[in-house]
Amino acid sequence: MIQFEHVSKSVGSKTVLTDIDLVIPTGELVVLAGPSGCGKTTTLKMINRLIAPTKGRVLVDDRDVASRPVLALRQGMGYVTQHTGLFEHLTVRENLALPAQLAHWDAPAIERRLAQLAEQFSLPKGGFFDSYPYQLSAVEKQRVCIARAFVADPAVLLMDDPFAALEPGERSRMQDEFVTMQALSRKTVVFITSQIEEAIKIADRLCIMEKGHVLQYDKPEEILKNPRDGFVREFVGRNRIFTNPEEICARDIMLTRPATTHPEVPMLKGMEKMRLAKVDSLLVVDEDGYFLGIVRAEHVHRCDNKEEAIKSVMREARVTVRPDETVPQLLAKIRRYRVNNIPVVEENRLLGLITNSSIVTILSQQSINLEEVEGL
Amino acid sequence: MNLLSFLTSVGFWPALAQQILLILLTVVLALAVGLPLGFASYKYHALTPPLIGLVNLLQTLPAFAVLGLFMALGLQNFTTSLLLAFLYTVLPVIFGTEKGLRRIGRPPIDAALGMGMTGWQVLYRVLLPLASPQILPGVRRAVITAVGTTTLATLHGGGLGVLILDGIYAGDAQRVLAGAVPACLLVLAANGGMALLHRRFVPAPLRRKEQREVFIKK
Ligand SMILES: Nc1ncnc2c1ncn2[C@@H]1O[C@H](COP(=O)(O)OP(=O)(O)O)[C@@H](O)[C@H]1O
Ligand SMILES: [Mg+2]
Repeated sequence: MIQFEHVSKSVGSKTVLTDIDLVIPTGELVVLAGPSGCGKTTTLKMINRLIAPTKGRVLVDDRDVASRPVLALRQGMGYVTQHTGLFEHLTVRENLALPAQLAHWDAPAIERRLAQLAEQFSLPKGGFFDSYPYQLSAVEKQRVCIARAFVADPAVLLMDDPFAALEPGERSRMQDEFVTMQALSRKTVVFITSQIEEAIKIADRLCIMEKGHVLQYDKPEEILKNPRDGFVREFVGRNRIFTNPEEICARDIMLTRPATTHPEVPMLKGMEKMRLAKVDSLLVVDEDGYFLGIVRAEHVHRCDNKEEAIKSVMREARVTVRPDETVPQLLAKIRRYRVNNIPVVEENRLLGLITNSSIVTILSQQSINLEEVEGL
Repeated sequence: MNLLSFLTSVGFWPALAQQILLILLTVVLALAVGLPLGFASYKYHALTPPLIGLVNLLQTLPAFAVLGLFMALGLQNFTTSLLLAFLYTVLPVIFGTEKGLRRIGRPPIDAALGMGMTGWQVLYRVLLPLASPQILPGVRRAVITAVGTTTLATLHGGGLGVLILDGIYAGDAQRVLAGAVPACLLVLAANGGMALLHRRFVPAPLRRKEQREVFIKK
């Protein structure tokens, strides 16, 4: 548990934080959201003592951080800095190994841990670990940054706007992955964002800040339903597109890069891909991006000769949607065809995939009654 | 006449030895003072303008004039030669260090501290390697300046400068060359040596072209 007790911070004559009181329960994902310059980074950095409060105390597990040995305190927390804080002069492997080295792990243990993380964070195989940060795409950098925060398996994660540099599609995908990972690992996470959509999507608890004050700290549904004042209402109101399910269409919530495969690929490889991507089906797409059908793990398993091409067990999709179909339409199709996910297709080309969970996530954030929607 | 015995006859070897000793001492001194000052002026930004201003001012004084000044004051020894050369070599070290550290920015430093590195670990595992693409050219310029200035500074003591000066007085072109040619070769050798050091000390990913352009300007 992390507690802020009447924490204030001023730098010279400037007041950066005023009387912050927060309780961040163990195992929860708390998002600090607010416009740029409202004091989110300053708040976060007080937890790992990169910044000291002018007044008040910060407690981690009931002990004032100021009284803890600073190196041990920091080594027990994963930290992703604002902008990527990867070390440009070190390879991916060296970057990832550093936190473990600082904690005096031996080389084989570090190597095992890196292999584990590569799997968990879908880091590419091959020479990836020997490449340098400048050779990576924005997404890859971000994955490495987050993986680095996980290396020493800390109980607390501090993440300062980690997805800011990503394209909307990639960003949304990373958010999904992060939520899944968090659900599995149950770390205490303090996550900063200036995007309210992101905040609502991932937060267990949401803290809205402005000008060094905490305006409202509550479950996201609660904040959406009962914004405490005009600023909060306006801030969460930017999320207007997501307030009415009829205004959300497939394009807004689809995964933009679902796991796909080519029809001529041998089933063995297809299975390997499903295993790596942790999915039970692949969308079959030809070299021009035309959507052909779906191959499911169960169909591959039933087939004796796994050297054969995927197209021999591929099925046509039971149902597809256009990108402009709305959430109620999607829900209706999901119910009618009893599917877990629906490919989004336009002019026979695959654009993305709607998963059951992405819709449920959206709806639960909206605190919309599912029964109500069904009646639409 | 045999070249070697000629060189010996004009006192070339002790002159060369003394010159090299002077160069090494100058560079060591410039590093010992320049690196910490560079770090200080990075850490305390307010320090940068006066520091750079002062050293710049001293440096704009023509070396030859300062040498004359020292001579007029009756200061003609190894120490004054060293001081003179130091004056002209320390600035690029300070400047390169400051500039290299400055462009690192907050995120890697926060990341390093945040993962629990000590101050020293941050310095030698993160700051110095990341600043090295600017520090090394600074040192390189310092070394080259050191070779040139020490040639001048040794006019009145031992060193290659003496050969040149004596040669000019005596109207002995060969003797002038015995000082001048090795002095030039020393510069070339220093330049080449520093290029090697650059490759050795600057991490590969920081040696890419676009980064090199940054520090060619000044
Ligand atoms: N060292 C500092 N000196 C002066 N002002 C600072 C300092 N650090 C932060 N601030 C100010 O404090 C405010 C909050 O900064 P920060 O915590 O980085 O905000 P956020 O992360 O929400 O964008 C900003 O207005 C910033 O200008
Ligand atoms: Mg910030």
